[in-house]
Amino acid sequence: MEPPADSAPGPTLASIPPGLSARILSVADGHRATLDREGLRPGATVSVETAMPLGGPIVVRFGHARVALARGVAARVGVQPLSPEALAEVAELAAPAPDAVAVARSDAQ
Amino acid sequence: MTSCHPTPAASRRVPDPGTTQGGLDADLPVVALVGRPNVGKTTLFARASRRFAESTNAPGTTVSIERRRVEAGGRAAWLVDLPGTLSLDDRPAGEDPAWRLLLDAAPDAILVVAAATDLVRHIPLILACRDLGLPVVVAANLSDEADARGVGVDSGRLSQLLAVPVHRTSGRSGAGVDEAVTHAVRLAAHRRSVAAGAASPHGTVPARIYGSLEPDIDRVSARIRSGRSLGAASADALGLGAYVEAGRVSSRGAATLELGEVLEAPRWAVAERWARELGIAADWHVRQTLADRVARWSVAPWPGIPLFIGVSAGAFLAMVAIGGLLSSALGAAWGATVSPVLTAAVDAIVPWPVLARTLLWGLDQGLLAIVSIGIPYVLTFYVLLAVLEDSGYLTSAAVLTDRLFNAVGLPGRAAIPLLAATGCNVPAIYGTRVLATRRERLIASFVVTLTPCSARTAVVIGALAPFAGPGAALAAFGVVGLLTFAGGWAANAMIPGRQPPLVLELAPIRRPVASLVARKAWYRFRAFAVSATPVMLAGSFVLGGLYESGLMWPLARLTDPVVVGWLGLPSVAGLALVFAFLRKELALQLLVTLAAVQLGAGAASIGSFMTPAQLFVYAVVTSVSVPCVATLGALAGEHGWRPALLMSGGSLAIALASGGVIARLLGAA
Repeated sequence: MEPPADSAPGPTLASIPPGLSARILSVADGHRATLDREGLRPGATVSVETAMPLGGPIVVRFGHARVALARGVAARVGVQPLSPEALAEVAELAAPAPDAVAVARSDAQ
Repeated sequence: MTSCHPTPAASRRVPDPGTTQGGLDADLPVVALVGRPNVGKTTLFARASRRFAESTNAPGTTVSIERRRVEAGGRAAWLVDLPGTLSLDDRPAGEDPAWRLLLDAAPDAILVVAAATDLVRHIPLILACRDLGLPVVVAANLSDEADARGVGVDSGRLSQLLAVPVHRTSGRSGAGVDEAVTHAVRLAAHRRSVAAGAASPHGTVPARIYGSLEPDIDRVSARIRSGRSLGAASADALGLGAYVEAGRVSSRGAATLELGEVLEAPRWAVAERWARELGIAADWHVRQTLADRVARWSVAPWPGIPLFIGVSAGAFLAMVAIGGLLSSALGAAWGATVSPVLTAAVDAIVPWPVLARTLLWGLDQGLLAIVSIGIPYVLTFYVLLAVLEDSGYLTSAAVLTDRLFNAVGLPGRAAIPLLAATGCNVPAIYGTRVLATRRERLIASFVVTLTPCSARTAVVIGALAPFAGPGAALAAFGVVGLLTFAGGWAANAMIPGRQPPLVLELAPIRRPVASLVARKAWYRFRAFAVSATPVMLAGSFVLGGLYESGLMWPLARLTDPVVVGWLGLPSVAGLALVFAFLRKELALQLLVTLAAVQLGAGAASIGSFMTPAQLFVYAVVTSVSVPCVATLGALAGEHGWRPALLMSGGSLAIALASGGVIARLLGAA
C-alpha cells in the first residue's frame, strides 16, 4: 500500500497539461476503488487528452481507453510527468516501470 | 463504488427466477451475460436471441434485466443480459451490487463479453467471474473494430492464461456470436445435468492466483460455509451463505465476493502481467482511426464546445421542425378522416348529448392528442436520441456539460434526460435511470418536471407570440429556464447527500446503424405509448365529464384568491390552470373555450380578455406548475408517491411564487 496522495507533495494528474503524459505513482484512498476499476493504477502511463475550462473534467487516454475524470479526482492522483523521450523509452521496453512490475509480482504470487 | 446504500440484511431470501417462468422452460440452463459498459453486450444479446434488445453506446444504459429463451447448438437455454458493470462490486442498476444481480439470475455459466480492442481492461472482470466457480466463456467482442485498428490478440494464448475458452465475436455483424453462445450453453447444460451444485464440473476450479491473500480467502470461505449454523448475521453480512447453500456459487467464490474490494488490485496486477506476456501492454501505439480523432475533438474545448452547441441546437430545431410538421399533418389527417366517423358513431349510439360529448373528449380529442403530440414529438425525439446514443456522442456531451450540471448536483450525463424532457417529460423521467444514484435521479426528475415539454412550449408560444410578440415568448422561456435552474439548485441543497465526482469511461465514436436506430426508437416509443395512452385517455374523460356537466364552474371560487388576488389573472384562468393537469397541451384551448362560455363570443381570442402581461404570467405559471397527470404517474412509478407529490408541490410553489412576483413587476396585479 502506497501512502495517500495528499500527504505526498508533488505533481498530480490535474497539473499535467493536455498533450503530455505521466506515470501514476499513487491514488488517494477515497478514490482508489473507483479508479482501480478503470485501470488507473500506480504504474499505469496515461496521456492527458483535454482539460475542460473552469475546473471542468479532464480526459486521459491509456492504451485504447479514454476516461473522463473530475478535476478534483485528478488532483488526488500523484504522478511523475514523462518527457516525450522518456515516453518513447517506456513504449520501446513495452513494459511499465520496474517498481510497478515488482508490485504486480508481489501482489499476484 | 458509485453509491453508498446500506447492505440489505443477511436474512434476505435467495430469489428463484425459475418460478416466475413456469412450465418446462423453468428447468432450462441459464447463461448470464456479464461485461463492462460499452462492449456491445446488448447488441450481442440481441444477435444471439435473434430479437431486438435496447442497447446504447453509452455506459450503463441497460437499465433493466432481460431474460430470453435461445436455441444454441440444438439446446434451449435462458440468456440473461445484465447491466454493464466495471466490477462485480459495482452497483450498475441502483441498490444491488452486480454480483447479486448475477447470482439472483441463477446462472449455470457466465458469458463474459470483453472488447477485443482493449482486452487487458477486461481481464479483472473475467477473473472475478472465474473465481465464482461457475463455467466461464469469454467473447472477445468488437473484433471488427479491433481489426480496423490493427489490434491483434492471440486469443489462443489468452485462453490458456485464463483457462477459459475465448471466442472472437462481432455483435454488429454477428460473426462468432453463435459459437460463443453455443459454447456457453453447452457448459451451462453440463453443469445443470451434473446438478451437483457448488463445484463446477468443467474443471474451472479457479487457480490460486492471489498469493498472500489466499489464506484470507480460505478463512472467509470457511466462515461462510459454517456461517449459517452460527446463525449470526454479522458472520455473513452480505447473505452469501444462502447463495452457497442454493448452489449458485462456490464457497470460495462467495469469499472472493466478500473480499472483492481487496482482490481488485491483484486482479489488475495479473491483467498487466498477462498483457505483457501477450505483447499488448504498450498499446498506446494503436492505429488512430478517423473515429478516434473525432472522439478526441468532441471533448476538446475547441472544437468540442461549439460542436456541442451546434449538435444541441440542431437536435432541438429538428425536433421542433419535424415534430411541428408531423403534428399538423397528422392532426389534419385525423380531423379529416377519423374525427367525423367517431363523432357520428358516438352520436348515433349514445342518446344523451352530455355523455356523448364527454366520450368524444376522450375518444376523439384524447386520441388526437396522442397522435398529434406523442407520435410527432416523442417519436422524433427517440430517433434523434438513438442516433446520438449509438454514435457514442452522448458520453462526450456528458464531459462537456459536467461543469454546468455540477452546479445543480448532477453529472453531465443528466443532459440526456433533460434533452428528452423538451419533447415529453414522461420518457425523460424513465431516462433518469442512466444516473448513478437515487439522489441524482430525484434531482434530475425534479428538473425534468420544470422543463417545458413540447406541449407546454406550444402553450407559451401560442399565448405570447401572437399577442405579445416573439420577444415575449423568448423572455418567458428565459424566465422558465432560470426557474428550472433555481429549482435544481434548491433540490440539490435540500436533498441530503452529495454528488460523486465524475469518473466516466468514454464511448468510442461509431457510425450508427440505421436499422438499430429505427428499432430502438420504435421500441421505446411503444413503451411510452403503452404507459402514457391510458393516462391521457382517462384524463380526457374526466376533463370532458367535468366540463360537459358544468361541475367545474364552482371550483373557480376556490382558486379566485390565488388566481385573481395573487396572480392578477381573470377567474376563468384558474380553471384552465387546474385542469391543465389533466391535459397540459390544452391549457390554452381550455382557457379560450372556458372564456367563451363565461364571457360570451367576444372572448373567442385570448387577446381580448387578457393583457400581454397577464398572458406572460399565465404562460410561465402553466409551464412551471405541477406536471401533467401522465408525468405524475411516471414520477410515482419511478420514485414512489411521496417524492412524486413533493416534486409536484415544489413545482406549484415555484410557479405561484414566481407568477405573483412577475405579475407585480409587470403591473398585471
